[in-house]
Amino acid sequence: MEDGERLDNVNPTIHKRLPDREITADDDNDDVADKIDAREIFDLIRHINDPEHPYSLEDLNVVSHSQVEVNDEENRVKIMFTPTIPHCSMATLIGLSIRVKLIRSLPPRFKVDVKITPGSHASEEAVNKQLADKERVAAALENNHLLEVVNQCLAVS
Amino acid sequence: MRGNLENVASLTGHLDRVWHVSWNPDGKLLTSCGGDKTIRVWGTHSKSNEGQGSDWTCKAVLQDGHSRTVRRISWSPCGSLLASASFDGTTCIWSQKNAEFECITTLEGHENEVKSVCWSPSGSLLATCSRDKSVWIWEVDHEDDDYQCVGVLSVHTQDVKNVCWHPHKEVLASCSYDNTIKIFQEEDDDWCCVCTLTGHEATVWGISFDKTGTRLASCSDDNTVKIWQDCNPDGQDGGSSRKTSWKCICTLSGYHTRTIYDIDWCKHSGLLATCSGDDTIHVFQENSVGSSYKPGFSLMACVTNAHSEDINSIRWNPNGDGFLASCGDDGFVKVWKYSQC
Amino acid sequence: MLGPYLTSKENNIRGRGTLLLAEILHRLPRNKLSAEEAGLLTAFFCDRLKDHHSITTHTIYGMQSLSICSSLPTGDAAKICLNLFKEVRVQSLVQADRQSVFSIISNFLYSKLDELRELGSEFVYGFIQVMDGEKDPRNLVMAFQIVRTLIDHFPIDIFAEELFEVTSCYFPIDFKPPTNDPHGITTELLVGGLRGCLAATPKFAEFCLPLLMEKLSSQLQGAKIDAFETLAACASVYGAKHLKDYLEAVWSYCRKEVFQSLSQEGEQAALGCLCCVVKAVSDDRKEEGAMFSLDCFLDDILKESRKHINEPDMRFIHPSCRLLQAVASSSEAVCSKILAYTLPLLLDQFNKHPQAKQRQSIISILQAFIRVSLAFPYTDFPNPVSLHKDAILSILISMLSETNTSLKSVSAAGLGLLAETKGLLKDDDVVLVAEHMTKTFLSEGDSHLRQESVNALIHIATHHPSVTEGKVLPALLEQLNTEPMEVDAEGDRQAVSHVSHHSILNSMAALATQPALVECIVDRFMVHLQSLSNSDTSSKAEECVSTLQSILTVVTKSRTDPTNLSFFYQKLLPQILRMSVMAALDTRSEVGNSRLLCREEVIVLLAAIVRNVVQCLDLSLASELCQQYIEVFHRHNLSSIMSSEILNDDTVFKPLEIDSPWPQTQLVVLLTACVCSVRRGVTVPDQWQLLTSLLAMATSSDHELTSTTAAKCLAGLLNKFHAGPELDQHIQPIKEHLLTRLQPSNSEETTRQRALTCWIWLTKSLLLRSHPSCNQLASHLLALFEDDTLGTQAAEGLHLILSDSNDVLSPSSHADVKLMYRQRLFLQLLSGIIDGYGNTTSGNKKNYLLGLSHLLHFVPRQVLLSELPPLMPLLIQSLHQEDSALYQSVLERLALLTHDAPGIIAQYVDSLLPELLRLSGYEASMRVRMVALKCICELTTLEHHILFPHKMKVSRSLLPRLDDKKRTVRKEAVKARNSWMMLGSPAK
Repeated sequence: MEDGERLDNVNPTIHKRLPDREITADDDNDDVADKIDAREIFDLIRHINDPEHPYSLEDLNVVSHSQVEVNDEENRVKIMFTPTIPHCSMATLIGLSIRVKLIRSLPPRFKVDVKITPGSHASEEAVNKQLADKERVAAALENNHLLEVVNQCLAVS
Repeated sequence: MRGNLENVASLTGHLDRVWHVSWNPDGKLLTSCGGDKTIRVWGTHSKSNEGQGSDWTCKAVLQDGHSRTVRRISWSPCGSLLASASFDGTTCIWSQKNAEFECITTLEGHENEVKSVCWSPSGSLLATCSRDKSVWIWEVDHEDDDYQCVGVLSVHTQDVKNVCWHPHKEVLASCSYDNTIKIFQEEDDDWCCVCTLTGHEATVWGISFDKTGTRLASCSDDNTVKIWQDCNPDGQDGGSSRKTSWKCICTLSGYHTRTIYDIDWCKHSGLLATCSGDDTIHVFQENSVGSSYKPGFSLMACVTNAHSEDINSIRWNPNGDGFLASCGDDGFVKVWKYSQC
Repeated sequence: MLGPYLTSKENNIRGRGTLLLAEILHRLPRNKLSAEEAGLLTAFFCDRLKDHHSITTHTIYGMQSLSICSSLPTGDAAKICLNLFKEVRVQSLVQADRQSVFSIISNFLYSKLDELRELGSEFVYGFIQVMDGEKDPRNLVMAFQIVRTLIDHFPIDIFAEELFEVTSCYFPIDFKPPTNDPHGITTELLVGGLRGCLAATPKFAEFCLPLLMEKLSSQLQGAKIDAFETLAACASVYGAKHLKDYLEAVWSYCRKEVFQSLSQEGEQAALGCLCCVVKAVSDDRKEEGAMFSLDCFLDDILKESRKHINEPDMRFIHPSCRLLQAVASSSEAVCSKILAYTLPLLLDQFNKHPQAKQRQSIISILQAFIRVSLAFPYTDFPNPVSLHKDAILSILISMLSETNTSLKSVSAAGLGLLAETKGLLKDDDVVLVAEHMTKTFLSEGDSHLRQESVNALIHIATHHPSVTEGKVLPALLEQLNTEPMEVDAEGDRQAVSHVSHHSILNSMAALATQPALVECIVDRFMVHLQSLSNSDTSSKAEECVSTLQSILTVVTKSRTDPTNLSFFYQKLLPQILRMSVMAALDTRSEVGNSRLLCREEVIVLLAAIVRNVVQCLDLSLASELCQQYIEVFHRHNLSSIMSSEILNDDTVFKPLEIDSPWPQTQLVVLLTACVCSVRRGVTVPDQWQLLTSLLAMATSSDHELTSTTAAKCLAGLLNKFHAGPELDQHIQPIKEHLLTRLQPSNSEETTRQRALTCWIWLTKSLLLRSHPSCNQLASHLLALFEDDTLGTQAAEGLHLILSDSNDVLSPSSHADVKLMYRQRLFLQLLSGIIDGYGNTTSGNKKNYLLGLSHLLHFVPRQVLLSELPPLMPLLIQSLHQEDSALYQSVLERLALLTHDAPGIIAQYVDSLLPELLRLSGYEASMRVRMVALKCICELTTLEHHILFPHKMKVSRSLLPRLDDKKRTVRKEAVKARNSWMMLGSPAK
């Protein structure tokens, strides 16, 4: 293997995608209220682009359906994400992109926690703490350059 | 619970989350600031504010002072100056000329977002803090509106979230993302950190002295409130060999389920008000029976879903009439009336 | 007359004189000039070239007119070109003049090729000077075409390098056309033109290959892909002589690209290039060194790949095998060599890796190699797969008993591939595979696995129909007759499969690939249908429908094959007719009987089958069938379908009479399927009596299916009736009959509604063939918008007229459908609708808007765009009417219009947005909420400066929609809000 560019993770193994969600009869019935469930939240974040590779977070197994917890009644959402390698420098950016996508897509009643899957990243606590501090997130999003990088991750190809 | 909080006003106008509310010294004006980069000044029509005072209106909107979120505002004790701290790294000083506010000075120096600003009780000092881990002390000369930086204290190891002056003495407290609280004092005209209060397990967001200044309440991302006691209150000012030492004498936990963003210790009623990311407001009172070194606090009043999103700031009206102001991510500024039933 | 002006001293006067002359010449027809005049003009213009530079542009313009003049004497073309080459420094001219020079040269090359060929390499050299340094894409497109002609027709040997240099300096092209590019020069046009030149002659090989090699290592993904694709195009032309020394280099670049897997296109381009290069070398027989270097190359890459294949963690087995597959697909000889080497390696790796996941990857790689081997005929070499056929077969079959479903489905796919390879499997192998695949299909739960097994069975049916008929069909039929698990309550007869009858029927339909199979499968279906209708329990209705659907699939799939068609005609149609009539007669006694064959969904399917067959019948068979149908339906003579003894005397079959029981009258559906689907040449006997009874049924039968079908049948017949006075005479009474029934005074509501339905179908029939009276019919329909009871039905009628119907009046049923019928109706009714809307009562306004939204829905883009401006206010008004159906169709149209007519929509954003935001919360209908949100999202494609003022307000008012109670609505809200919040970011 010759000199691949200086990518953190040169040849990522590609994860098999979940088939799209089937529309059931209830979905079209206007009187049946559909609860927000883990699958719906997963569908919001699965297509986020990885900052380094031309693949989505689902392709690289950074996010998966099983790592999304939702409690619609108590307005709680908890998402675990697994950086592709333990010393991935993009972990904070990936976490931030997930958080921004949910800020833009979820009703404001939800309290959202975005955390790194325990034991999967060298500086796990520091990243979690930063992602949990809404003031720092708000300040970061006022920085146009960083906002643009996040928008790249969220752009629908 | 023996207290009751009743919502008397819900003020809309801010186009984004509201970060901070602050009463002017005589309690007649309420100011708020937030993500829409503006400061709004609210007032009531009725002359006496003992009445319902529910007809609040927006008296002024201060637009072009800052290019980014305005995080905190603080009235000078004399009531004629308003200081605003912003993510654009600057602190503006507004003066009130016949109901019109005008930015007379802009203090620069911090490397990035300024998180808090606070006037000393004498009005001659101003403290600011920022994510660049530093606390700045400014000396104010009111005649020629001159602000001199007299101290840059880079003692915290992380983003400094808030600063608050001792009610009577020129003693400053600060709290930070590094989970600690620090006390600063001027010793032989050089400001230095005289004490570090550790105990919180996460970011400390808010601090508030009680009316005597011998106690300090703090609230944190670890969902707890801690009460700290100054064990050497009568240490002489300046030059005393024995350092003041603060001890945590009480921890209130189990009341809030998410980050507690702000706390305010009423200088009149001694009531302690907290607001949190779980959309609730709590009011505590010190039990009369506890010893001064082992106080007990009981919950007097609690409002769930006080706002439809996180609540960022809570302030008692300084004139002691039991009014309370809050603001939150839902863009509302709300006024509450606390009554003991 | 122009003389003095042309010779005057003053440069500008001479210039203007020359220009005037050129303008005149351009306006002359091509053959106007005589040869001498043309010759004189050539001399004149050539001389003018030496004149003052300001005259040159006009001279070139003049010469351009001469380049298309047909009467130009021989030699002049060459003279003009040579003068141009000699006298004019073309690259110093302005773009338009350079473009004229290029068009002069290409015109002459087109018309005077031989004359110019005499100039030989002098012409080539001259052109190289002209082209050298050209920058403008419009000129380059012409230049590349000219280079191509030079290469094909001129001796370029001595100037090959110069010609290559002047062309290849543009490689790789990174031209990005400006957004609203008026000239329409696309990047693909330039890339294609350049590539055409580079790949035109082996003479370029020695210069081009080094250039391509250098570009293959470029960091720019676009340049690299262009290099791969250009090399692939050049490979076959350059041949082995040049390519054989580049094999290793090309292999290493392709390997790097595939191993790094940076992008899908990159990998495709690399693999394609590799295959072409190897193919070029292996196909080139006359190059003696080629065979030797190819063999060494293949040995090296096989040794290298062996390392990856045998790696325990199998990390690079996939990319390295994809490379081998690309090389193997180059030629039969290479394929045999590679497969003979790799298949045993893979088989032995299979035994070394017991885990399901690794085995699954190895089988999928095996599959890929087998798929490559399919491409070759194996005349002189044995199929490499056959040497290992038994080993592969046993592995795949053994995997079927594993637990891991994805392993089993990849094995089933492998077996299908083996069956697909001609001449690979012996008969008993095929039987073995067929049995396993049938068992898997019947017993497996996983739908993907079942689908793979059906695919395998389809391959077997195509290549070995006898095995299917002997082994597969009986097993499926036996399963069909036992109850599936979920229905079968009592435990004893434990049905082995839990696959539903529906999927069995579907798979049987899929197996009908050969005429022999079609016949036996359709027969079995009919027997099954007969047994279902005999048991006559309503629970069987669903299975009855799926049986008919399977028959329909087989018929539509295989009706074009003559043997199938005649089978359908001889056997299937009579059977259907007999069964339906018997069923209709049988119920004479109890009226509301639920006999299976009388159910609407069954009759409609039977009619669909008849229709699909009749559409393919030739004239004679079609008229024969019509004869039989008229005999049965109109003349009530059942002898043709029933032997007389079962016909007792009181059987009365009068389907076309109104008072007959509905199971009989509804058979008009079958009649329509026959008479309305025949080719236009067929004359339907007793047509006029038929029309009169159909008209009566349409207006007075109270059985809904009967009356609507009668109206359709009437319309279908009239549409195909040969034009002429006879047709018009008969249309007139029909119109009067309907008009009297439409009068509000003398007929009750249901009659008026039925008359209106008939009127609408009549309008559609005549509009399609653009019969003159359709205008009167349409305007009367418009007048009915004002009618309180019929207004909405009349407005909905426009939808029925404009939309495609599949049973009658469709092109596949040979209806007379003139072009642009939708535009004609749109332009006829549009002004009426706008005025009508203007001065109608508020109650009826929504009829006009409903009608308008249907018109908008169907009319083609261009027509709509030209009429849109006056309509916009109406459309926005319609968003205030309390009618969700109207909202939906208008909003759907608005979403499209934002894409089609951004300029117009942009003017109405301020008035549209508040309506859309309101409708995005429209409680009554989720459809309306969704389409409103789609419109809001679509608006973000407009110019940003129009949208920015609304950005904050829209993203705040969309917040509640994120909490809509319906998930599909929330999905649209998320899309809309995210794209609004991304406004202004280049990433959008």
